[in-house]
Amino acid sequence: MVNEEKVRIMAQIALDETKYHKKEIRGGEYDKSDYVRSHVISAIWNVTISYIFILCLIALYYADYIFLNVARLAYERLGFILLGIYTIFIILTILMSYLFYSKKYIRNRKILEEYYEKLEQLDRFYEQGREDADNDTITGI
Amino acid sequence: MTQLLVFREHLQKFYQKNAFFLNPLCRFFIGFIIFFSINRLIGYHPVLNHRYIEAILALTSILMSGEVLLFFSAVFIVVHIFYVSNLLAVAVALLFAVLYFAYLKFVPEHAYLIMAFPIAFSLNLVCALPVLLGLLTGPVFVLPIICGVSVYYLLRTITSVLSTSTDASINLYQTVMQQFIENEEMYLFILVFSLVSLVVYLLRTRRWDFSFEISILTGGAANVIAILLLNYYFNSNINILLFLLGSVLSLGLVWGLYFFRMPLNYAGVENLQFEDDEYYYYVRAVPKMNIAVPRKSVKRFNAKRSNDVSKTKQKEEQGADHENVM
Repeated sequence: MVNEEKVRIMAQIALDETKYHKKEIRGGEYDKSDYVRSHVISAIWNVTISYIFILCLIALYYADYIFLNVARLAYERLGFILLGIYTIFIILTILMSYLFYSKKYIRNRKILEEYYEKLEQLDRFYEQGREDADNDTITGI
Repeated sequence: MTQLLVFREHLQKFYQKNAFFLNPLCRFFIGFIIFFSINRLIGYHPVLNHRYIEAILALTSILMSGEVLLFFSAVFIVVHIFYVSNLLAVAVALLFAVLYFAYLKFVPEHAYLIMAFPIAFSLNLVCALPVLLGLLTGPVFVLPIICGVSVYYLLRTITSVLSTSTDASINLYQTVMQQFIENEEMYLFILVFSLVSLVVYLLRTRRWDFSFEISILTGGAANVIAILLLNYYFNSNINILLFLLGSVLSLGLVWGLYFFRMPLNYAGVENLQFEDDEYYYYVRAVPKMNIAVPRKSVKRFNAKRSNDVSKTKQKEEQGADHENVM
């Protein structure tokens, strides 16, 4: 016979896994330091790409000036300035993404605890089902 | 109000029953609005700027997830610009890429809000967005407002520059960027929308009765007044009647969304007070407005059918009598 409560929990688990908390469940495999570190690295990568693209756009905007003064540009000074700005961006990114993903990890843990609670409930149902099956005795003539 | 609540219940039941057909229909509708708005805003490519192309793309958007649809709409914009200027298209693509890598990678759900701004502007429904953002999100609404309004003004600057300029590509890009960065109207719109969202957010988080309704009305009114003042200041020549109609429609849409999400019954407010070892709790519980939909039972009075039924009964009885006699 279909156990309605069991079906309800299974449906909730399926919804969590496929729709509502897909990312959180996937991220739940990681330890906190691994989770935060991997996301901080990803953030550094994203900010680096953005920075390169922004530089391209700025270079395009000043293309005339760059072409005219290509031999007279103070490359060393320019390099230091660009590297300095990049370093500031990266430090800010590391700080912000560390805080953001640490907080996110804690929030995800709460979601995962609820998810594991549902899994345990389901497990108890199966456990109960197995016990009932073991206790069944076949009587006959 | 009761009638509206009954209507809401009926509509929800209708949706639950027909979700299989309604979901693709909604996706088609949203896809069509997106591609239609882009074509209206920046439809340079003669092949893409047709209703049937919009319909075909909207049909394909049924199969796409939200993120893919947004990606394709960004590509659609770039293709339109590419038709007029290759370099400008590359620059716009780079700007979209910066937006994605520096912002949307971290908060992907904001992509919908950013895309909503150019669409709402082109459909004259922009009043709805700051109010909606104030209602649904927290102070983080400033970021999608900045990016959304910037994307709209970038596209508008491109169209205005392309309509007047005959420059080569590199100069075209420089002119567009110069006009875009120096556009005071854009900064003022960002400021107005941010303030309106802030007002709505502050009002709806107050512990007043009807705080949601008050915040929608105040935010809407503030938005209309501010935009009219901006129009006067910049001499933008917007069609006042159309703008007011759009504003009323926007606020109607926002109220509709709020109504379907959570209408609250302030008549049944409970102010509770209790304590435990660590805290005193002052709880204000506002019940949601729910209504039982009246069930209609239909009784059929059909003379012909009842006669037929009585005749068949008589025949059955007669048959039974014959069997008994036999």
